[in-house]
Amino acid sequence: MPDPQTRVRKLANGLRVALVDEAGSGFVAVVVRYGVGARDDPPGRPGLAHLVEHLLFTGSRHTYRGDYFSFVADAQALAVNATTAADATTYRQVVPRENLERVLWLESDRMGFMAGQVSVRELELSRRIVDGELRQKLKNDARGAIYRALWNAAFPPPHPYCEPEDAAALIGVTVADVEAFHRDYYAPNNAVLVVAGALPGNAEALIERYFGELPAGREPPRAPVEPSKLRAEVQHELLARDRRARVAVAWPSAGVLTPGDAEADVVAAVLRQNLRGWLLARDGGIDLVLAQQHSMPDASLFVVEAQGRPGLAAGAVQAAIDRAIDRLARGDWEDMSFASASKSLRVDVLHRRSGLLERALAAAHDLARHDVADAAPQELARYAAVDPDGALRFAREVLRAGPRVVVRAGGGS
Amino acid sequence: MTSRRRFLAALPGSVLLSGCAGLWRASAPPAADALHVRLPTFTREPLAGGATLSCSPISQLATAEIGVSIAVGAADDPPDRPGFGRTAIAALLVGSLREELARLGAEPQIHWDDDGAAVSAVVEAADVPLALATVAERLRSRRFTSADLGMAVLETAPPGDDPSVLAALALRQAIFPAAHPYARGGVQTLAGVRGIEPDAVERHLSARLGPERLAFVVAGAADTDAVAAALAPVLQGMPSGTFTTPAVVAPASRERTAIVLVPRAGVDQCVLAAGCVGLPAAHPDALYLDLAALLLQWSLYERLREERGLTYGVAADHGEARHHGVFGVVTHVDAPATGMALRLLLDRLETLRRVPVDDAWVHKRIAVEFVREAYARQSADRRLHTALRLHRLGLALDHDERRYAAMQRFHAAALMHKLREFMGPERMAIVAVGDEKVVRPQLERAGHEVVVRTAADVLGV
Repeated sequence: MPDPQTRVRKLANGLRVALVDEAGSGFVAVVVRYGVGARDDPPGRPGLAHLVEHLLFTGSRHTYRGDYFSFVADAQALAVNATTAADATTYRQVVPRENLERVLWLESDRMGFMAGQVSVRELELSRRIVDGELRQKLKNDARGAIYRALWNAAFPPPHPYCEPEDAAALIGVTVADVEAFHRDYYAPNNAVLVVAGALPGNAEALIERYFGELPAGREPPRAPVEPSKLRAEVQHELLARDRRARVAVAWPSAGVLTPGDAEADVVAAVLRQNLRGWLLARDGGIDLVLAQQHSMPDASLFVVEAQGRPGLAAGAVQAAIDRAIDRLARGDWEDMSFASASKSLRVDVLHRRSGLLERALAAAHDLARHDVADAAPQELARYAAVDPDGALRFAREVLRAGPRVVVRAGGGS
Repeated sequence: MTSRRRFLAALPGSVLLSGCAGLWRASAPPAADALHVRLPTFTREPLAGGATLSCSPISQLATAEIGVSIAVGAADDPPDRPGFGRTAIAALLVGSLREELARLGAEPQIHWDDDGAAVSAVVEAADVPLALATVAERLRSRRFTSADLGMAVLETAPPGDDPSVLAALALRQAIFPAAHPYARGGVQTLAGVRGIEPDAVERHLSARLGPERLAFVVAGAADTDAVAAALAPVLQGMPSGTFTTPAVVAPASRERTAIVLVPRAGVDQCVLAAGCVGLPAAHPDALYLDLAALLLQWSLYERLREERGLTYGVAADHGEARHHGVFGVVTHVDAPATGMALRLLLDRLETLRRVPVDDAWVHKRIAVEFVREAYARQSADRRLHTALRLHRLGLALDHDERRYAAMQRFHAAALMHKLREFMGPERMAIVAVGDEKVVRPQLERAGHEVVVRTAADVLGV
C-alpha cells in the first residue's frame, strides 16, 4: 500500500500527534484517543469512564452548553461519536477541511477545560442515558446479554473487564468524582491525537496553538489487569425468549500482542471458514456460526457461537460445537484451510485501513499501543510467523483442554 | 537573576499572552461551507445479456470490495410463498460458493432487502477478476447442492424474536396489507419455504435469474479491463429470465385504528415504532421525506433523551425502496415511560406539521446531506454498497448527483406541504414491543385502542 505522508511528533506537554496527509478527498478525520477505559473505573464505580465520556458531550468552558450536535452540525461534522473500551476512550469526527480549526478548538477545550462545567442535573441525565444504553445493549438484546454473561463469568467482579448491565453503581457519583476522574486521565500526556486527510498547510500550527498550551497531567494511575481465574467449566442458562437455541463458548486466552494471540486469530479464521461446513455435514440444523479472538490487554477471550434451527435443543447445539472443536484439535482439517485463514487475516489487516476515518482510528490505536502510526507491517509479520503447529497447539491446549464458559439461551432453555 | 526576579521580568509578557490566549480560545473559529468536496463517481460498462460492470478505483488501497447485485426481490415471489425467492437465491450464495471464495481469503456477506439480494466480499487486488468470475459462474450455472439448499433455508429463516426485530416486522405488517410484497420486510415465512424442493428452486431461478438482473461492482484496487475479460466468457450466452415482475401497487393511506402491542414479558424497555408508507426512491420528492426524518429524529432526540434521559437513541428514516419506501421512527424507552414517550412522539409529529421551517434551514440540511454522502463514499465499502443499492432500486449510477443538483431548487414551503401530507399522527401505524402488564395500561389510559399480536404471529412461525 503506498504510504501517505505521515508525520509523528510529541508536543512539549506529552501529547503524541500523528498527521496523515492524504490530499484529494476534501475531508479531514480528527481522532483523540485517551489512555483511559473501563479498566480504570474506581472500585465500586463500574461505568464511571463511560459516564465521563458522555458528559464530555455536554460542553466545556469556552465552547457551548448543551446542544453539542447542533454545534458540530454547523461544522458539517460527520461520523461524530465516542466509544469507551476497556483500555481507551476515543472521540472521533470527520469534517470538510475548511472546518478543521473548529474541531481542534472543540477537542482541545474538552481536554483542558471541563472543570466547573458539569451540573448536577447534567450528571443525572447522563447517568440515565448511560443506564438506558447499557440496558438496551446488554440486557434487552439477546446477543448482548450472552456476551455480557461470557465476560462476567470469565472475569467476575471486581475484575475491570466485568461489564455492568445497568448504571445503578453510578447512583451517588458526584460532580467532584467526575472532575477528579477527568483531571487524572484526560491530560495531553495520556492522549494521542490523529489528524488525517486533506490537511491544510497550517495544520501543525493549529494543533500547537490549541493543544500546546494545555498543561501535562500527573502520570495517570492504572492498576494491572489480572488474567482470568477460571479453572473449570462454568455453565450459564439465560432466561430465553428466543425459540432458536443459541450457544456461546468462551475460553480465556492470551492478551493482545502476547504469545498465543496471533495463533488464536488464525484458529478463529480457520473456524470461520470451516465451521458451517463441519456442523452442517453431521449436525444439520445449525447456522450462524461465529468464531473470534477478542484481544484485550493482558487477558482475552476466544469465543465460538452457534445457533440452532427451531426445535433443536441448546444441548444439541453445544454438542455440535464440541465435536467441531475436537475435530480442530485432532488436526482434521485441510492444509488449504490454514493457507486460506492466513490469507483472510492478511486481507483483513489491509482492509481495516481502507477508509479515511478507519485509517485515523488505526493510526491512533497503533500510536498508543505500538508507538508507530501504522503497525500493519508488524501485524502482517505476526500472522506470517504463525505455523500450522502453533495453531494446532492453541486448539489443543486452550480449546480442548482449557477452562471455559458456556452460555446457553433460547430453544427451550 | 533570582528566580523571583526572573518571574517578575517575565510577568508582563505572560499576562499579555494569557489574556490573548483567553480571547482566542473563547471565540469559536468560524464554520465554513465545504468547498473541496466532490462525490466520487463510477465508470460503468455493459456486459453480455444486459449485465453491467461498475468500477470506482481507489488507488491507495491494496484491497477491493467486490459485489454482485441481483435484482430479484419480494415482488418476484410466488404469491402464496413469501420469502421463497430469497431462499432460492441464498442456495446459490451461502453454501459451497462461500467455501470457494474462502480460498481467496474472502469471507463473503449476503445482503437482502425487498428489492433484491447482493453478495459482497473483500479481496486482494490481484484476486478481483477470479472472485467475481467465481460468483458469475455460480449465478449462470444456478448450481447448488442439497446441503446448500439446507443451509439457505436455515440462514433465511425468520429471525430471532429480539424486541427490535419484532418491532420492525410488526410495523411493516401494520403499514402494508398482508398480501403486499413489502409486508414481510424481505423475510420468509415457514409456509413460504415448507417442503422446498430443488426442482422448484431451479424453476424459480431459471425464470427470473437472467443477466439483465445482475450488476457487478468493484470499489478499490482493481484492473477493470482484467475484470471485464474474466466475466465475459462466463456471462456469454447466459439466458435471460422469462418472468415479468407484477406491478406493485401502493397501499391506500388510512387512519390508524389501534396500536399493535407485541408482548415480551419481563423486558424492562419498550421498543416504540411508528411509520407510514413513503415514496419510491426515484420520486423527485423523496428527499423531502429524508429531511422530514431528520427533523423528527433531532426533535425527538431532544425531547426524549437530552431533556428527560428516557432513551439512549432515536432513529428516524425514510427507507429507500424501488416501489415505495417506509417512513419510520423507532426508539427504546424505559417501559414505565412508554405512555409519555408516545405522547411526545405524537406531539412532535403534529408540531412539525404546524411550525414552519425556513429556506435557510432546508438548504443547510441539504448541504450537510451532500457532504455526508460525499464522505461516506470515500470508503470502498460505501462506494460498493451505493452501486449495489442503486441497481436494486432501478436507479442510474449518477442518481445521487442529479438528486443533489435538483435539491438546490427545493424550498421550505414544499417541505411543509410534504410534512402535512405524510406526517399526520393519526395515519402513523404504531407498534409497541414490551411487557404487556406495564405497557398496555399506559396506552389505554391515553385513549388508544390496543391490538395484541404474538411474536410467533409476527414472525410467521
